[in-house]
Amino acid sequence: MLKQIMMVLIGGLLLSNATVAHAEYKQVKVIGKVETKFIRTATTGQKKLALEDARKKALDKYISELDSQRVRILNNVIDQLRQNLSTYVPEVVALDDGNWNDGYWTIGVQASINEAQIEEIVNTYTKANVKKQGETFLSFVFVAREADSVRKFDGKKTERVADSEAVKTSESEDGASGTSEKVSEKITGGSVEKKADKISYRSYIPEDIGSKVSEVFNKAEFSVVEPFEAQIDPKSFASDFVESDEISDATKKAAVDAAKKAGLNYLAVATLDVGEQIVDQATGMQKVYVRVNGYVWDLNGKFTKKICSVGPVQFSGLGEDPKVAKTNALINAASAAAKDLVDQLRLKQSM
Amino acid sequence: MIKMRKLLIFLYLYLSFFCISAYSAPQDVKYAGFAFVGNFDDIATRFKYTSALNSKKDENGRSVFDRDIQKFIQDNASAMLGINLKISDESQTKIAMALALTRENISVVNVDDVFKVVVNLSCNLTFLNFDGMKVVATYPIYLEYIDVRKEAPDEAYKLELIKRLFFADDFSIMKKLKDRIGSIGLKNDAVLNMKVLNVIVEDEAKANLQEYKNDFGVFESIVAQRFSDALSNKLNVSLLPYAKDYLGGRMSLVFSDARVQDFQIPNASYGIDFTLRKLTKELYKEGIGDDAFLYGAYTTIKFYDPDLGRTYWDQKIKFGAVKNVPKLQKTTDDFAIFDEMTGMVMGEVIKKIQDDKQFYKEVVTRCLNK
Repeated sequence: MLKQIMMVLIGGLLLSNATVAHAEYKQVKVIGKVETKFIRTATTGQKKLALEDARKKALDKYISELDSQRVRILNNVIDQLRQNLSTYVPEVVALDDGNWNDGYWTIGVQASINEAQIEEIVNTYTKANVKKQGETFLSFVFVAREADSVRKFDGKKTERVADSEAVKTSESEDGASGTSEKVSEKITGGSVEKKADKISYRSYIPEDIGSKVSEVFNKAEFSVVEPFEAQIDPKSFASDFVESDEISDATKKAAVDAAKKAGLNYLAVATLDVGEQIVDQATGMQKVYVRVNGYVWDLNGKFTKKICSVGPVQFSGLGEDPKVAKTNALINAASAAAKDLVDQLRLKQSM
Repeated sequence: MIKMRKLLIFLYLYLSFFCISAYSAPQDVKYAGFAFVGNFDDIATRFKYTSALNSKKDENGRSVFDRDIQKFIQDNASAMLGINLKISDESQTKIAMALALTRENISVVNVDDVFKVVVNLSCNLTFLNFDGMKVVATYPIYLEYIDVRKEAPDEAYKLELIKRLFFADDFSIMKKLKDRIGSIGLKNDAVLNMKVLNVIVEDEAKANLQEYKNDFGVFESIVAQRFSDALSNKLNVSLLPYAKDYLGGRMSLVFSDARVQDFQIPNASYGIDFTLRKLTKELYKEGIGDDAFLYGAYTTIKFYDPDLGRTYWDQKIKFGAVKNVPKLQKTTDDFAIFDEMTGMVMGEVIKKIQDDKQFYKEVVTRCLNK
């Protein structure tokens, strides 16, 4: 009897949970199919099979639209996903009453994908793999630069001018009157030498994005070590990035040596190039684009290897003033780059 | 043993009641205000008269739209289905409701010695989810007003007319909203929805729509809004805004206080193509005092799923009516009659949908707001 009470209670609680509305699911449309060779319709059991087929197809369609790194991770857990389809594809709503054609009964379905649950399985899977390797220490250096001043050069023009004059005279037959016309010919030519605008940059280490990037790495079970703990100097990265588009070998060497000495497993580096602010035509707000390049060094072996990279990719941010727009763009770019690097790292670690 | 059974029955009934009340518990919705749909920079040109009215503020810094629409919503909120509307409240809910103006159109045509004024106002009562910045549901409201005047309408007249068409007790956006408020609710997630994807106006129809010859896109948007309004009003189905008005599937809302928010419009479960094939006028009967003309509107309506390549309903529907025109009348206002025919053919489409039991059961019932 106690068992029955428990079942009623559990059933009730499950039912009450099922009534929570407006959960955020991704919608995917697919066609579920079942073979019904001998009848032109489907039995209740066959309809269930078609809906189950739709769930599988919805999951496959969802995965196929993800980026390649995420697909590779999910392929490792695909059996687990398929065995628990009702968790990952919790809702299938029929779009029609079904059609029979050529021995098959098909039904259009709008399926809901529970992305939060899929993220959870990715985390669990990678956590299990990371655990095998023990605690993984990672530090990151994300530096940004923006134009401080732009010196514009006009094209240097070299012009060649050659003048020639000829006098054309016409006279009447009686010679009493006539007109005289002066024809002048000008030959021009030359060349234009164009010089690229000289842009001077100022660099900085954006504090706003530090916590966001840490959050991404922490959620993926990396132990984030502050650069100062490992004697890594982000300022030298920033000053290199101002001088040229790249980080110098000397700066890289110093950072890698310091990181190895401190016992770090990985060092992530990203450069963020902040563009000029523009007015977004759709909203009238300020908009800023940020171009990001990033990579991760694997410090575990004898030699340092660049094991994953991202970019160049552009992200934008909107804001009521340029400062807010810039911060939003930096956060969007940095967190997207960090997420991509994490996915690639997870994949490398699980292989 | 009997006591235990009683306890079990009690628990079952208690939990059943709890679940039913949890399911039907009203959803907290914040009132977000009045908004314009579109680019911030275009507000003054796209919504010339409404934005002019909106810029006039009272001593509390509120426009007629801020004040009167909020009051209207406040007075009528209890009639909405399953919605607990929060006004000026620090509610934590992420669901908000806004009345968004999508189109304001005034055209003045000189016919003989009179001036014909045609006004189209399109609004959406829009439910928004600030969590994912998505449009959850929309209730389209379309208003058309045609008037004939001896004097050319000036700017003051137009301004007053727009205000009247928003707030008058007998014929206005607010009146339409009041008539529908009892059927407005936030749909259950399991209900599917529809969206007008394309409005196609073919050449034979364009030839009789000279008022829009410079921009048929305006006419297409008006038709989309009008048809959405008819579907929502007559069939009570869940609708999403017309696809072509929101390129990239995003809806920008500019609120009265100049806040701009950008929302994602989800893909619809079913797409609708509305094709206006032709608008015709033929002499039906010649009389002594007047002639009878047969006016007609020919359409093709398609309900389909562009993602799955399935067509659920594809019908050619027409509507015709005879109009008597006095022989002494110098010019006939054909546009007003074609406009009326376009509205009538939409009514005919709704009737055909209701009559088609199989399609109604298969598609319409799946989109009902319930």
